Amino acid sequence: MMYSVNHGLWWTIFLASLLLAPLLFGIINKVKAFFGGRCGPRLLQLYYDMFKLSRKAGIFSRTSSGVLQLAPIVSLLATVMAMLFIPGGLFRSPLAFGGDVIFFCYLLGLSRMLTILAAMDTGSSFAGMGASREAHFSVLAEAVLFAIVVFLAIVARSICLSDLLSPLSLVTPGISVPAVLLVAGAFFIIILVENCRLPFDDPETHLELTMIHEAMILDYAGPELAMIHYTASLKLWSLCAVLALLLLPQRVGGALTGVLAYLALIVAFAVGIGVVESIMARYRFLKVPHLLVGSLAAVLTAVLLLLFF
Amino acid sequence: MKIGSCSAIVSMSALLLTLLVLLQAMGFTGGPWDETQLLFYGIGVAYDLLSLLFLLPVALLGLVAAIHSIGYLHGHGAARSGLYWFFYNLTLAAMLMVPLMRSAPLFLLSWEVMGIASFALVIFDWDAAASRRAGWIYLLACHAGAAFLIMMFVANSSPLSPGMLWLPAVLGMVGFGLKAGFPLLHVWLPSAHPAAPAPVSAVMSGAMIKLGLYGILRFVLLPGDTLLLCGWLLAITGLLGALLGIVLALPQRNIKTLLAYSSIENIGIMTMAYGLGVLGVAYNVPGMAMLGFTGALLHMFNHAALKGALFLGAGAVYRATGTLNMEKLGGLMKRMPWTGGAFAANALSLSGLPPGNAFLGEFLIYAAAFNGVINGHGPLRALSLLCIIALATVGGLAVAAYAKVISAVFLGEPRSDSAAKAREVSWTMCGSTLALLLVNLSLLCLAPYILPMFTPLLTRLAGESATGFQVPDIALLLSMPSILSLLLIGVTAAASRWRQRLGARRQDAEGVTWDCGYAAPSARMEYTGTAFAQPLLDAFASVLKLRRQLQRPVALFPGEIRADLHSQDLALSSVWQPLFGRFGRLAIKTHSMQSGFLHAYILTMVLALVVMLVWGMFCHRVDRPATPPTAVTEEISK
Amino acid sequence: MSSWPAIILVVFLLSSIVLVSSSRLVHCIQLVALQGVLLGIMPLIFWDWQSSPPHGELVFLAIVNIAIKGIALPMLLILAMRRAQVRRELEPLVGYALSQLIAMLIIAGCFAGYRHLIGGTTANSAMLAIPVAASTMLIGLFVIIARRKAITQVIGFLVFENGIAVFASGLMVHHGAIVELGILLDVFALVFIMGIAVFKISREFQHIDADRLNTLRDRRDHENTAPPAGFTAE
Repeated sequence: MMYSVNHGLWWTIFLASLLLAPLLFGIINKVKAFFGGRCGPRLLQLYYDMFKLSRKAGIFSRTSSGVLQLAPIVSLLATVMAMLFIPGGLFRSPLAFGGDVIFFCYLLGLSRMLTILAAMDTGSSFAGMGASREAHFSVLAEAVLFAIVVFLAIVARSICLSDLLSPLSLVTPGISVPAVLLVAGAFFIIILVENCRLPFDDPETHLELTMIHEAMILDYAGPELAMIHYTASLKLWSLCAVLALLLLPQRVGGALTGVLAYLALIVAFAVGIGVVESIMARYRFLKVPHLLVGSLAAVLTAVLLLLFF
Repeated sequence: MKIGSCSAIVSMSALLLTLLVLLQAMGFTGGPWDETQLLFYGIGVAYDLLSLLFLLPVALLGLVAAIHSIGYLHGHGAARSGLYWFFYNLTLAAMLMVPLMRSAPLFLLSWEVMGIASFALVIFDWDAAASRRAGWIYLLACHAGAAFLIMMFVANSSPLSPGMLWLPAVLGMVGFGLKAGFPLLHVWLPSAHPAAPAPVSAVMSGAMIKLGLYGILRFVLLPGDTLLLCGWLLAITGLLGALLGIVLALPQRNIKTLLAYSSIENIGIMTMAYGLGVLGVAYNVPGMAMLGFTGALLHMFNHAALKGALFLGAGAVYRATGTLNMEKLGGLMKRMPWTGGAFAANALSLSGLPPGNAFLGEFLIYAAAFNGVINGHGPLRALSLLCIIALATVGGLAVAAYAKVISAVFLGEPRSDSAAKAREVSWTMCGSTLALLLVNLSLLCLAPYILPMFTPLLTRLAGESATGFQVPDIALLLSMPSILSLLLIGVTAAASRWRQRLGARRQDAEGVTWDCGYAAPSARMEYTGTAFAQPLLDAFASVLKLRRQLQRPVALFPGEIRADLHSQDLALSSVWQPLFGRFGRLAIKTHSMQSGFLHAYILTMVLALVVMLVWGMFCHRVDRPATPPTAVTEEISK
Repeated sequence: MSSWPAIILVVFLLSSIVLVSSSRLVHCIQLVALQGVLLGIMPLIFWDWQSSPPHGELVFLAIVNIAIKGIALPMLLILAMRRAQVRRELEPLVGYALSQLIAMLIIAGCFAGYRHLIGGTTANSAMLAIPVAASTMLIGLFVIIARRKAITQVIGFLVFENGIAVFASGLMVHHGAIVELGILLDVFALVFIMGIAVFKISREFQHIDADRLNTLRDRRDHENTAPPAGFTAE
């Protein structure tokens, strides 16, 4: 199944992913509830939450100087813009250009930077703690992400996200399977780090001292909080989508099957995250860099395998 | 301030002249490498596109910093301002001369004048011991650099065997690297920049250190004898410089020291890009060559305007609060909205994030490295891979460092009285920062259109191999990020405007920051800049030589509790201080040779003369008549 | 054509990287055990099943390998660890993240060196065993150099030995069952002795930091450098 250029279908898929993204958190929560023997919140709970929040009036800290108000908007827009470069299912992004993968990574970085600044803008010590940890982990995550991009660039001989993720490029006979597995594993770790999921950050903790992402957004309420939730779900969706495209099997029948397989894989990753969160405890903060450097080593090993074998 | 205005006008005319000549030179875009001789034929004063491109930041920052100085110097006595303006203009004149000089003596002359005049500016605040020390280190660095340059020119002008071709290249690299702030040679930078007045730091960091790179381009790369060696040297030096600079920037408390280290990082990135370009030529990877050189040039402009603006902003903060210590600042965004807004925007941009112009340059450098990974082989591929990972890491660290500056200085609650009482600075200081912000915005819009005008320079640098990869390709590559960044800025502005209206309609409220139920959150509970950077600092503890001071709470009613982190510059504490210390002890040992008798000294001199005469007559064949001073050195050095 | 040999080798390599970054000794020992098991099944996986079923000697060797390297030695180490009452390597000479980077460098160096050795020809995935073996050996040596505790050094030695074994099984040198068994016996005896030594050292000095064994040298200055009474390694 080669890539096809169909802008209409691409936009449809893009809009669908904007709509479906918050569903992922519902799935994760359902999986965790299943493991915990609970009934759990409804699948569409995040939609209800966001709807309720978006109709409220905002409330901002007296300390803040505007960055707090600006950050959710910039984060949301940057994430949406980053999503524009992801090929939807099997269709090339209409906005694809050479080097858009760098732009993609840096837009996610922009979103992160604004969240950090907003956290520091509140003057809260908890927010500062969260921001400091986020800045720390993101340095390593960025390095791993770019190592993965290098791997893909060598395979696809291009630095355009739509070429890098072309379904033909990775799961092909010429490329050693362990290399692909290593890269996919490292990317899954990156998904967990970037979305502040469990072995790195506990999204459900009630203790501010152990939070990362939650500590940074302590001071948000109303429409801003809705935007932040939405941004988080979009980010999770887009990274899962990238991994799904990496692993999409070569032979998927027609366009419809391809798109369905793509969506099924994304849902499967959400379930995977739910399982990981159910069976793992949060790492000590000191341990996190080791894991990230380890995944960097894994990706570099994959590059070596790719180049030499 | 009459002198100030005059000086500003002079700088303005310099800028206009440069722009005019540049436009005129760019008129020949299709043509080959154009070199235009100026005024004095025969003594080597000429300009070409390379000179003009490096003149532009000098002229631009010269003008803007002059305007800023008017406000900055307000309140200093006439004598001191007079001295300042004299040396400021002298520095500027020398910097404008440097790229125009072709012959070695003239170049060295303007180079030295530039160093000495700026030395006078560095010790502007000569009552402070730190200033004098910084000036002393700077002067030393300048002279050492000039010494290496003299040796380079001598080596260049003498016939070298092919096996010795590396010598002038390495000498030039060290000499110019001292000015540019290569790793290990950078030690003067982080002390001189904070000591100098802010506008001077802006000019030095934005324009002067880049002249070091100009020197390397002009006298080491363009002769083109030692491409492979230069490429590897530049790329690896740049890589180390970028990493070292940003890691050392993280723990700094003084805004200007942090900015100075960040300059080392950015020079590192540019150097790495030049290295990638040169290696692209040497290994015949045209895309890498073109992208590397273009990225380096673009990043130079971006960094000049951005770092200039940041230093000017730091100057405004200093004038408003009387301190540069980030732990004593905070909450300035509310009190100085224009300066704060411009500073935050520039800092965001310089950390390399998208809607900023610095992203475009880094984008090209990334593209160059990716090109090397995809098209290169063996060691070139490994180096490109390292460069990509280093760039990503440096990007992440830069985000952390600038997040630290912005949040510690401008966000949150003020941590001292002087910060709480700060007011917006005068229009000259504010306006100059905003003007540079405008320059940055226009660089963001116009970069894809300006770059094709560099074609003659780039083809000259990238050599014949570049035929497969044209500059318009690069412009095309850049246009998408540029347009999308502008779109992002526009949509963000519209959305936040809409949100404000919505807030007004729904009557958004204000409250106290959540601090776990504690009723009276104060600035002392805030995370400081050092606290923010601490986890990252711990990761680099061995490079930073981190020392931790902890005063733990004791007893039931604990008294003072303190936690403090100190870092050291690796190059200073483990290389230069031991070296100079050892040399100093050695020098003290020669004290015993000082008898104090005048006659003995004269005897020594006469003996030395005689020995040299004898050596000259018997051991050294003199086959050239002694002419200018350089020629004499040449012979002695043989 | 399957990619299992390559997967096994890569897992083997990854386990050494993780081992270098782990401070918990139990974890390290588990990883060494994992390596032992992988080593045991490696000859079976590398065997060309299509042509003939593996002969008995191979299966026997695999079982012995798993029994000794995957079960017996790790248990012995855990016993020694319990006796010496250490659980973590707290202050390694080289930090964990840096160790990982160095391991990465070692791996890259081995791959590049191997590439250099075989020239331009593309290698098949079974030949992957050579750089993997070389880098595992070097990582083992690195662990011995970079860690303080005697027990971690035993672990490093085992990793080194595993690297040698990968050479043998990866290159399918299956005529040397006797040699292989001999080596296994040697290693077993060595680790046994080391385990006892670790216990003795910890009983005598209240620590097992190998870098402070220099107090045993001839010069009588160990009164100054000896640890204070009651000092424990924890």
